[in-house]
Amino acid sequence: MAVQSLSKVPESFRKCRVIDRAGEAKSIAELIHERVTLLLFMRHFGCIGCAEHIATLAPRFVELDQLGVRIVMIGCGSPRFIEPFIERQRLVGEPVEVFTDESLTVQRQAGLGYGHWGGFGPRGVFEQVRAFVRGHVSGDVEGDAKQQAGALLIDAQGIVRLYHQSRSLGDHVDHVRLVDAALSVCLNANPELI
Amino acid sequence: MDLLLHIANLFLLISFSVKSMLWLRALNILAGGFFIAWAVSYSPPIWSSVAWNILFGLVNMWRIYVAILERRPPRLSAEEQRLHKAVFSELTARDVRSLFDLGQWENGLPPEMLCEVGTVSPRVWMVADGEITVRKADRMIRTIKPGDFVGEASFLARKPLAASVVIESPVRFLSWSTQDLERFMDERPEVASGLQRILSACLVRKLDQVSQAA
Repeated sequence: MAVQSLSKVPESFRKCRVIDRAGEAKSIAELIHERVTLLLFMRHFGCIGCAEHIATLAPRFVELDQLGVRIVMIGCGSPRFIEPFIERQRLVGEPVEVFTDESLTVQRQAGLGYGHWGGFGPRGVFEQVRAFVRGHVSGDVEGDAKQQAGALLIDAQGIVRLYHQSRSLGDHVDHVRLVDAALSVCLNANPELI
Repeated sequence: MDLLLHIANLFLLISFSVKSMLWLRALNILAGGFFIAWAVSYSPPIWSSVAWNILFGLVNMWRIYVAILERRPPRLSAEEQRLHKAVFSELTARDVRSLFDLGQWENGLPPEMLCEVGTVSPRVWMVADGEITVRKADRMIRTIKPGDFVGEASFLARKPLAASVVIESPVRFLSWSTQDLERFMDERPEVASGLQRILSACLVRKLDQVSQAA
């Protein structure tokens, strides 16, 4: 069973394990347990498109955190790349946790795209140039360059409230749509708010 | 006559070295003037060059005019300036002007029901002066003070109100139709993110109040 919008996350996805920078493994079930969680899937840790994506989303992290959203980033490189990634993307002190899954099992279970086309097709190349012009730089390939990104907002009951599969390197989840979904989840969890 | 060509190119060169877009355009217009003078003085005159340089000049003049207009601060009344500073400081004065123009200022007198429990709120209200009361049955749940919003939860979650919104004392408020606000946020994503921040901050304050009361 695949991950779908407005459905409960499948058990196969909940069972997937990701590794933190210390090499400790955690299951997705633990990460999303009884809390609204945003799972942000990166391509590889040196990806220019992901750098652009993080720069757009970072100003909203505190706001999401205040709304009770746990922000989890998942890459696909070795755990030793996590620390430099956090530093390079200026995520130090941000309410964000970074994990990785080199086996790509979690990305596969999340139904994310995989292939060269997303990064090196005409659209991907155009988006690489766009990100470069915006001041982002591409690092070494720290993971699998064929892995595409995505985002899942899962509520405290384990239901997917927003599901975005990136078709290419610069196809990011819209931050306005994302915060809108988080606000909606927060309000539905607190019906007394008007 | 080659001197005119050299002067034109010199201004062009200077225009490329300046950082300000306004100055770049102004120097380009000046360069264009010398190009035209050179093209006219040529024998026979190069009319195609004259025509192209007139066109470049017109485009540059139009962009300079728009840029100058955009630099002018919009007019905000004393009340609007106060709200801009207190509530909408995330937004620029120009964006706040657009947002205020979209809304409707009203003076509410009691007793008046703004929206009944169980209905999807057609508007979002923001209190400017006085207060609006939120009631469920006969129980007062909270009062909405100046600078706070009501109806925004129904708007954001697209769900019916969990309580009624009533006016129990004279109040001045600004309100927006949810349809207009949604369209505005769709059309202006850069303003939408600022507005989202303001509304989520208001919700976080309300959440704190609820948890403190509990």
